[in-house]
Amino acid sequence: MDLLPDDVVANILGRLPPCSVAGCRGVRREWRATIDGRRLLRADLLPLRLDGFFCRATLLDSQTYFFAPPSAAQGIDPRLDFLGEEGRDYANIVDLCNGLLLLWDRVVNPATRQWIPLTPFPRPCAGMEGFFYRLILAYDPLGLMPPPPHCSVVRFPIVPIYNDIDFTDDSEWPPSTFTIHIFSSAQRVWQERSFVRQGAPTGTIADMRHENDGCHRRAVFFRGALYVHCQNNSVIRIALSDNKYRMITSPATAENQVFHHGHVCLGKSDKGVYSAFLSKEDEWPWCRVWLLDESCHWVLKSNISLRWLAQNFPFDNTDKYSRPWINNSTKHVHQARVVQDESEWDFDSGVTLPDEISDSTDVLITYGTVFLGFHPYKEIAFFSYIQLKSGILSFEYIKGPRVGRLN
Amino acid sequence: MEVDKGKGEAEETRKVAEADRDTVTLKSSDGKLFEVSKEAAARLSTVLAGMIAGGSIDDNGTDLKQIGSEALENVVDYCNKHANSIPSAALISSSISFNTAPFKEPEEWERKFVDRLSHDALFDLVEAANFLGMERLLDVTCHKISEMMKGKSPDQIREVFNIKNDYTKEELEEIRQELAWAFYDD
Repeated sequence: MDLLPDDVVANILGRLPPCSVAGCRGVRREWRATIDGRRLLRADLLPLRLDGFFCRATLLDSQTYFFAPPSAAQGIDPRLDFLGEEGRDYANIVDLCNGLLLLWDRVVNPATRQWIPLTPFPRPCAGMEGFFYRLILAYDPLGLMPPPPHCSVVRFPIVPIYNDIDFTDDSEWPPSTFTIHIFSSAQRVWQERSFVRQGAPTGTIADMRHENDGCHRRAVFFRGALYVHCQNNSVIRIALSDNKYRMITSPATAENQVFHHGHVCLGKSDKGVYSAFLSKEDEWPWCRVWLLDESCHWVLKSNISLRWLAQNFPFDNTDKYSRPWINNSTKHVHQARVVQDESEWDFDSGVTLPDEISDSTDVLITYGTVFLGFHPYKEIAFFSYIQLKSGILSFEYIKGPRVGRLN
Repeated sequence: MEVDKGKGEAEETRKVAEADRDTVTLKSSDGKLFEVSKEAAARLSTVLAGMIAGGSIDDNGTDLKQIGSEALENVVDYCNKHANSIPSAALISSSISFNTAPFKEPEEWERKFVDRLSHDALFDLVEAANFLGMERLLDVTCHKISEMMKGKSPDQIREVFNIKNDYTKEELEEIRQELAWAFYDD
């Protein structure tokens, strides 16, 4: 095998999942050169394997939940007990990115139990008095930043509904030169950075004056650019390396569809940045998913009714799709470490959503369906489905037309 | 050698089928002779198709100095088996239109074909397939090798495939460190 031509080695290694490719860099020098030279290791697909996921969607309450197969989660402390009493007081998770957690005063790695403190927040940039802020974490575990990998925290301004600000209602927002503070874990300081808009604005101050339903507005860090879901559902793409930004209209708006009841959600998965729209049609949940292409246009990937799912939800915990998962939050802890299963979660053994929907007369009383997020490197979306009748909180995932159940 | 990888190949294949002999003789590095159907050779190997079309086939045995007799025997065996199995439309199109069709899972007989090979034989075959431009065989053999590597640590991979570790201890530690901050716990 030492003697195989480079092309063949690349052909073989290119078929492996990201975690194996990363391991193969340590087999021999030429392999590392091949993997790095041909970019076989997709740094943007990290985490290298999905052992579990944190979830900030509002379910029964607005806590953060952690879901993982019991065996995989043993090295991870989602309750952040290692921070001690003082740390626990601030243990509200405000953002997550590629396995790191951002709290109000620090960035934490729940797998390695390390953290770095943030320094005190800076004063607002000139002219920005009266704004609110959200903190966004940007972290690329491999590559785009010099090793050892560093993260950034962005202090992103929120247009307040009532406060007086120095901008009139018809001013473009963000302004053509957008100045924000960014904390770098390398320098451990907040720095003021200005970004110049490329292309057209997508809204004014007045358009942005919406309630801040924080859990639904997410940010994604992908290939050196930060994508933030703005208050008018547009997405701002901030290129951290070249001081430019551009605005991207929401796919729901772009296709001129009027969605009054539903949520637009931003996320990252296999091919990049995705937007999901969860709505109700004829009283049944309906999901659309778009992928952002390289020219910043939304491409519709999925347009599917979740009716079958709602009607056929397998409430039997012993069926073949059920697996034990941990559901940890600071309030609820179910340490159901029952099964030793060393393999990565098998997301492919779902069931298939049928094209035809039977006219069942069953009526489920639902609290509704909630979009949880995307699988980091497979085109799978996670939903929660809450049914009042049985009082069970269950979690589903969907892959194209496939559906399976995580219990 | 220029090999026409486009639509011309089907035409060349037809020409070949009309030629006098319907087999070609291939000669391994250690001088053994193998006969293979001209049609299958031209369909499955871009290099052989090019040689046949270019008239550089030697009736007394076309020299393939880079390929040993065991690997060549496997190549010929694969061509014959392939000719006997009825290729699906997808297979034909993937061997003609290059790099467009996504990888199709090995068929049952292809799986068996590579499963019975020793490691050395498999590596010789993958090299031969690469040299002869046999896209499908390369696909099947590379797939097999990647299956064997999945889930193994670097140490296990070196052991299974008999690969010499050319890293120093310090370098290995460095590679581990590159990923360590986020994903590994000591």
